[in-house]
Amino acid sequence: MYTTKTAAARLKKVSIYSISAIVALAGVLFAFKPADANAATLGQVFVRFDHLGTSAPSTGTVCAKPTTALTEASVQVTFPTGYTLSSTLANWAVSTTNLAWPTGGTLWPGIGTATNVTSQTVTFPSTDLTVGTLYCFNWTSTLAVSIKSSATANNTGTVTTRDGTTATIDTATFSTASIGTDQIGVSATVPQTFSFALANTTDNLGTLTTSSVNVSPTPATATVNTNAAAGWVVWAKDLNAGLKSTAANYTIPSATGTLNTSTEGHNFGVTSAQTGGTGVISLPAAFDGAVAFHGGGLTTALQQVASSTGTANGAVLTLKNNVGILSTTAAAADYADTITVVGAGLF
Amino acid sequence: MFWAALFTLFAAIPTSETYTMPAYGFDNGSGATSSANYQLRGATGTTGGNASSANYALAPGIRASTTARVPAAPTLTNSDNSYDRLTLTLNVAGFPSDTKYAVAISSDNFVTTQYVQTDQTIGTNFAASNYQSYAAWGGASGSVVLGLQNGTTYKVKIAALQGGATGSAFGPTATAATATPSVTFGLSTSLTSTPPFVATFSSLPAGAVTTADATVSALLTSNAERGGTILVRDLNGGLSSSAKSYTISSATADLTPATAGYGAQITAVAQASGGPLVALSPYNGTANNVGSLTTALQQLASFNAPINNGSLTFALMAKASNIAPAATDYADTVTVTLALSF
Repeated sequence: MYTTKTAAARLKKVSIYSISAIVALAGVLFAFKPADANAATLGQVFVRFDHLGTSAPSTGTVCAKPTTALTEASVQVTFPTGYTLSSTLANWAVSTTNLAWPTGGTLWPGIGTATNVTSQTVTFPSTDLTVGTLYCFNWTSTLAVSIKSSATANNTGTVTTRDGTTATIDTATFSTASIGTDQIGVSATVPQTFSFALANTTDNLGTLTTSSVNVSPTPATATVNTNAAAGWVVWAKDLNAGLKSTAANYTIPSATGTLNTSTEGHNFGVTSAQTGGTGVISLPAAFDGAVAFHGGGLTTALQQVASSTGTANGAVLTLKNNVGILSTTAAAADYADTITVVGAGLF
Repeated sequence: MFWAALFTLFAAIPTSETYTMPAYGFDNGSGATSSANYQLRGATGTTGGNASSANYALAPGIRASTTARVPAAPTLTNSDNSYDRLTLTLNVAGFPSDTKYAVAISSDNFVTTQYVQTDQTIGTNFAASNYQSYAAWGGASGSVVLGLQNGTTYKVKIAALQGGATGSAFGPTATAATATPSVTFGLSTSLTSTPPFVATFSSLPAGAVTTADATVSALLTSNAERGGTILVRDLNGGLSSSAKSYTISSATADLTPATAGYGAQITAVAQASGGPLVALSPYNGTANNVGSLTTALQQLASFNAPINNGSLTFALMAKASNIAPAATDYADTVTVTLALSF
């Protein structure tokens, strides 16, 4: 009885231990069971079409982030149904210039012109990629792909990395949209413009002396701004053809030329400057005030005192009055004149 | 191969030269497995009796154990229309707080089974580390299971492990489906919702900042988990007159003091949910500050998460200088596009 029971106990132990061993072995075998052949999902995928308008030819960018540590040899981009792909491989040239890539995007190693186009799938060469890095490249020809002809949402495609045996390593689906137009036409009209402004319009020459030619202390200025392509012209005239004293009933006459202390006269000298514009300013010789005390004699009729050949941004004419008197000039405190300056654009 | 080996091992064990154990029923101690003289009694669940006496001893063998209770079906949802993730919430009512749980997941009704790993992705590895506390699984808020295939229905089931008990079997399943990556995108202007879209500066008097008569709006909805950007570029880098061979160049500038310029300014961003859509510099200025339009794509706005009914509106502003030739054919073409990261 004792022996028999012992034998039974031994059998029981053997059986239990054996079953335990089986379970353990099964666990080990399970642990080493090969992983499923299902492809992994890319950590990130980004496909940008630079145009979304229907039927528009488009360049674009592809980015992908591998998740599986295998050796890539190619990448396939399957474009959405309805997108028209060129079967000419040369049209699938690529670049690795960062064209508004997503944050973290880095150039795709080994990427090159497509090696195959079949149906909607384009195959590009690649070299090994590092898990967790976002790789990008651009297809650079608008001949490569055209957006589908209808406006639809949820146009899906895939990006797939493959190994040297063309087995899939990682893959992911992207989505894009085609819209009626992705463009806004902008139009504008720039009108003809001409602005003319006078400053310092009171020119007090003070007490005239015989010892020197008297010059405007604060000469008037005329500023021209215009987009007149052919330029502009400025004219001037005066009221009295000189400086006139009503009280003395005497006029210091207008006189073209360069005044000096032995000459009685009044002239109008012009100098010019310009901030910008296409125009070149020219001054009639008579009114060119570059030389001291030189100017033209104003009359009651308009005379051209400056002109330009093109547009003007901040063209400024400085208008100086020069006056010389003699000892015989009538004394008076009311010598005066009124000068009128006008301008016009040549459109 | 593996299953054949396993079958062979099981088939070989229950016999010896002297005794036969006709079945593997050793769990109830009821004496159901017996021969004429000998009886096999299960030890599992034994709680009383002496393991030894002066003459007899119970040799080491199977140890008494308990099995954790099987958890109820969890909750599996895809409330945000995601294409690569689902939200899992465990149902742990009545379980001790020190219970840990493992999650099995399958897209083919458990013909093949994967397990949610500690990094929330799924894989074939199933080890003690797969068991995590309720808190680690996100508690009542749940946790996200990552790395799923889009457009796929998944089932999940939970197993429990508590104290010295043997891990439970996996319980009943919960089901949810991932969506496919999606996007809707459209353009409109304040003047029309259908193409062609036109924005006009009816007159650009010199020295005055002028806004085009139409603003441009981009509308989008997408479940792109990593968001995306709205980009813009133009054809001419400015407003160009063919008749005068002259371009009012685009530039990033405050047009008030600038002599001339042309560019875009975002006037509004919004969304019903998600995103958010964020206006980016230099297009996010105020007053008369604009960002330049170039022939290269520039980012107008970005978002970092799925977005629902996002909208961006921008205006075009320009200023002509004194010397910009008079012409009625100043023109440009502005292109707006969208890029998404799935």
